[in-house]
Amino acid sequence: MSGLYAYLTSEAPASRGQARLAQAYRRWLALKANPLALTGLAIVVILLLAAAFAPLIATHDPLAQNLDQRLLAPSAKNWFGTDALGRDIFSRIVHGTRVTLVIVLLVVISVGPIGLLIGTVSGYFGGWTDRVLMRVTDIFLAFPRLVLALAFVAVLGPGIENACIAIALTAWPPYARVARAETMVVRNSDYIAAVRLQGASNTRIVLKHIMPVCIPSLIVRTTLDMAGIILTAAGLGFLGLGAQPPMPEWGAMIANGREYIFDQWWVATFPGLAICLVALGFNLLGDGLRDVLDAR
Amino acid sequence: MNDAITVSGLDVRFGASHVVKDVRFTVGEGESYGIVGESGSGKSTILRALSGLNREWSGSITIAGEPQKAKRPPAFYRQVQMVFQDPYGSLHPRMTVDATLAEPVAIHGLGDADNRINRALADVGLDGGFRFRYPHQLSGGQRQRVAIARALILEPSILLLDEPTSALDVSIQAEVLNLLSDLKGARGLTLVLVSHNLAVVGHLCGRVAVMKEGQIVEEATLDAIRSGDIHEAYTRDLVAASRRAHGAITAC
Repeated sequence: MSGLYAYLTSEAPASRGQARLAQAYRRWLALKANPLALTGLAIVVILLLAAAFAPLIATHDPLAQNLDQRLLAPSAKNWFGTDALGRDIFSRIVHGTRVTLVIVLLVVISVGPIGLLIGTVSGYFGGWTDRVLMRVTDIFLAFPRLVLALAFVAVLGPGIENACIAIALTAWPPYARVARAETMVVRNSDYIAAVRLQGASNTRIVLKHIMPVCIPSLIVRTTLDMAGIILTAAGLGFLGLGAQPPMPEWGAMIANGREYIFDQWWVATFPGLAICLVALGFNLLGDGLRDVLDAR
Repeated sequence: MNDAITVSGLDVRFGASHVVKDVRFTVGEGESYGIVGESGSGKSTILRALSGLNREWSGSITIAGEPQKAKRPPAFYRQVQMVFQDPYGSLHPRMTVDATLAEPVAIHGLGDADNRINRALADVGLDGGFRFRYPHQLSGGQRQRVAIARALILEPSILLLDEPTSALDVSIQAEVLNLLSDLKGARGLTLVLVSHNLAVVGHLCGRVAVMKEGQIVEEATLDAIRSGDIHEAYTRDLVAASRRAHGAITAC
């Protein structure tokens, strides 16, 4: 153990790998010192574990209907009660983590690179490139996200993939803005001038020298945005435009529970709590990551 | 002696302000040429035009016999390199020393990066323990050594130095200046050193241009300055100010 500690905290790392690990270890120490960020991390880890082992954790089949047992209150058998079709709500929430994660992942994989590329190119080259790209960004920014997503889903048709595409199309502009702002800070710095003086091409400068500077703030922005993405997805689900029945999507589950909210509160409450908790977890983690990753 | 750098009629304007006015000078191969002047006198702007960082200039710049245009070919950068003033700003904060030094080798496809990096670090007096550190794990003097190693890894014949010591502690300043003078001796480098500090210039350079408000008001050898063979009142003031500052330091 002490050998590993010495390896990670060595002042004179002996290889690229060790330098990277040591950097990661310093960040972990900084994150560990922040209890709120750790709480966020724990929630996210629980979410990941729940998604990975959903069939083992769930007590019932999330899709199995049992009309004899509809709208049962929470009990030892059905921990969170059952919904209007007699399906176990706890099992559906556990399986719903997969749907949520799929949405989040799809959006993040598509949004991050697009925003990063547009932002860095725009910020680095400036001039007309900047003006054109930023006006396009402005157009997308001008619409409220949910409204624009609704319009896209209306065109593309309801469904979870289309919901992801719609959210991605509406979510990238802030990323481009963040990346552009960051790029403009560093583009005139001496270290960029130095690589330019080494004869580096513009492509190389943007990809290898500017993007690594922007990525941490984008990661932070993404984690903070996760909550918004999950809420938008749930909103689309609630409106019947996202995941389609019988898929156990949290937003759609709340929508189903709406009719019974005064008599059978558990139908809408537990999926709502799940959304709330996961959104909170990502927010706390993002806040913590900002402190950790920004430290130079 | 061949001329490494010839500058004539160099003008630089930033919008309405005329920063460098009709500057001309010549630096011989293997010579060390100093440019002194107060901040805002345009001395760093001359270096940025020489290095190709600033492309908005008029006049003529000839380097190693080649007339230079605003945009430089890749081969140019193997010949001319620059060290910046602030070692805290000139190293990429997210790259290890190793990655920083590997970059120029990769750009020019030189190969054998491992040996080159080790050699470059050894040349500036840093042992292998520094190779995989991040800039925030280095002191100012160590950072400036890395910046010098980065400039020299392409084996240039001309090194432009933009106030290479003014961001460093006085004790470290001497170390870095000695390192530069050793490297110059070992490699026959042509140096152009810009500084506001006459003592720093005097440490390295044989010939000095004094700048004021964008113009070179006087060019003199170091011996002439030491013996007081100066024609311009401004140069005299500068020398006197430098002597006072030195006196103040030795008095401490």
